[in-house]
Amino acid sequence: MKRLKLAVFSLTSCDGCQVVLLQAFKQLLQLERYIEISHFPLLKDKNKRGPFDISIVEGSVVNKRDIKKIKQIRKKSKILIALGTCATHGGVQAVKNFMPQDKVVHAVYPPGFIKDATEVSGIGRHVKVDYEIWGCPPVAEDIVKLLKKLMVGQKPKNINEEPVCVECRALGHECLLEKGILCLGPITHKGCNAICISAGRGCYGCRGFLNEGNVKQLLKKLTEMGYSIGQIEDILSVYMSNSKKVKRVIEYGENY
Amino acid sequence: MPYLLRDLKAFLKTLIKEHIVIAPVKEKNHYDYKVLESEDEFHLDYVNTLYPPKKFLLPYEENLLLFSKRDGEFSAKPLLNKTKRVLFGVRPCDVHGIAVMDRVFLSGNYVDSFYESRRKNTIIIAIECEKAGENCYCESFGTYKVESGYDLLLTPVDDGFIVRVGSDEGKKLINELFEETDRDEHKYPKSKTFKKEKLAKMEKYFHDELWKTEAEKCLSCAACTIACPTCTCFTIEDEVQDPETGYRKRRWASCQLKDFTEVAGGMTFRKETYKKLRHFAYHKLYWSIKQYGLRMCIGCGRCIDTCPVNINIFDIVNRLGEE
Repeated sequence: MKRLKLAVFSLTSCDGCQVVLLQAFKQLLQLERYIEISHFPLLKDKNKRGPFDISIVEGSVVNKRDIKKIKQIRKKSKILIALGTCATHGGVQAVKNFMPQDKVVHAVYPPGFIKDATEVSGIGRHVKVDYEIWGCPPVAEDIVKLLKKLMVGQKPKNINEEPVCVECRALGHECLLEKGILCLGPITHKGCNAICISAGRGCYGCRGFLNEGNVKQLLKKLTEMGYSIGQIEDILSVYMSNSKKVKRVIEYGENY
Repeated sequence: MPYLLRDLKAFLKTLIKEHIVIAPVKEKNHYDYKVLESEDEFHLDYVNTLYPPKKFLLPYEENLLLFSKRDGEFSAKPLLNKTKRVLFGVRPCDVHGIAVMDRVFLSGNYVDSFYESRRKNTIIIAIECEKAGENCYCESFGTYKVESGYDLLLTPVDDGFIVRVGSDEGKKLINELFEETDRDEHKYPKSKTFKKEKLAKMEKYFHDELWKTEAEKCLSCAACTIACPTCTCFTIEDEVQDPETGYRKRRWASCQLKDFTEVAGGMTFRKETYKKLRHFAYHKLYWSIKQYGLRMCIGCGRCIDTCPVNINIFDIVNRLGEE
């Protein structure tokens, strides 16, 4: 069996996904015979230039350099995996898309410092992505499972249309919506073991929204609970400001 | 001959010494089945738990087989759980719920050995209810009453508990704390009921508009099927460990979710939310009589308790054909 050449790249992000990757690699070390980590600057000094069998990219595209970089990565990778909410959806920093570009570049840095800023997006807007691993941070187990499947030549179906509620209920938690706490669990992809809800905080939707989630009725429920549309929009756009669903909420409010 | 048990705590203490005891334990605002560390964790002030004891017989996710292929030889080893456990404080409706699971997994042409192994090694000690909950509908089906399916059945009385033995396993638990008695008391609290005429004619109301209007607010979160003691649908997945071995896993599935009826090519049989909700109601209350010779609903009302948008299947059924 040929060893698969694996590469890890980082665009604009907090680098937290790479820490999760290190956790995942702990489990993958036993598979060293099958997978070779050939490019991972956070982990080692000598990194190969490619081509690679599998490239994992974390971070979002925020400027022209990132666009150039992701296109180069795509060219030298057989399989491209977007890791984490930044790479899949744009991440927290995508909220800047709500402000005019010329204003937002001056918000922190002096004039002229940022020259090549673009709209913030996941990498999928610029290149073809083969697999997405959701979450902020993502779950190490998801990375391990996907790599193992790819290792034996499977082509797993990249969908999971089940809400957070499934795992949350199976774990025996009481529904936060019934306690008056804002939670996006019913419209968000599961897979996180309802970690936020376990800690008593509502789901903010970091794993992305279900295709068929009933956003309209969740909005109705949340407004009945006493939340204003503004408050709901704030939580909806923490991670998913690039989502069409969130844009629709902001445009139509209660008349979604 | 029934027994009288005066000191429940002392009995629990002896149980915990020798067994893994799982019983309702108070969480912040609800009760859930947990492994008891001490008899003091158990308080008989619960109506019922928010979620049923189902997960101890059919876990949310479990490994069924460890398969491997080495030197061209294929092998698969079943992973049977044989841990001895006691489910303590199970309400009569849930004893009926377990009987439904037994019907699904243990009778007919195929026996599910994974379920069987857990079930065989589980002792059930039931306790009759003193009062019914807000959403209890056990009176509709008589599920407040159990005549079998338990190892011991406890009826709370003023001076302790009347204990009935339901099996040889149960008989073995009788010790010096129990005294023989000829008292034959039962506790059967009054609860809400379905309208019998509606239940009998559910077929007639299949196209009732009420299903559509009520399903509008459904979030398709699957809380109802997860909280249902008789929802036993599952999905199977093979998980690679390394190129030579892997696990065959099963995980709960739900008819309220999109991929449940999705087939190759992307076709989905029950796409609309109202069809999914209606399917749940009909399977529990009507079709299961033909399929299994019993009604899958035990009237515990958990689907109402757990619904975040207050959809009440029982209320819907009672209102069918009225608008």
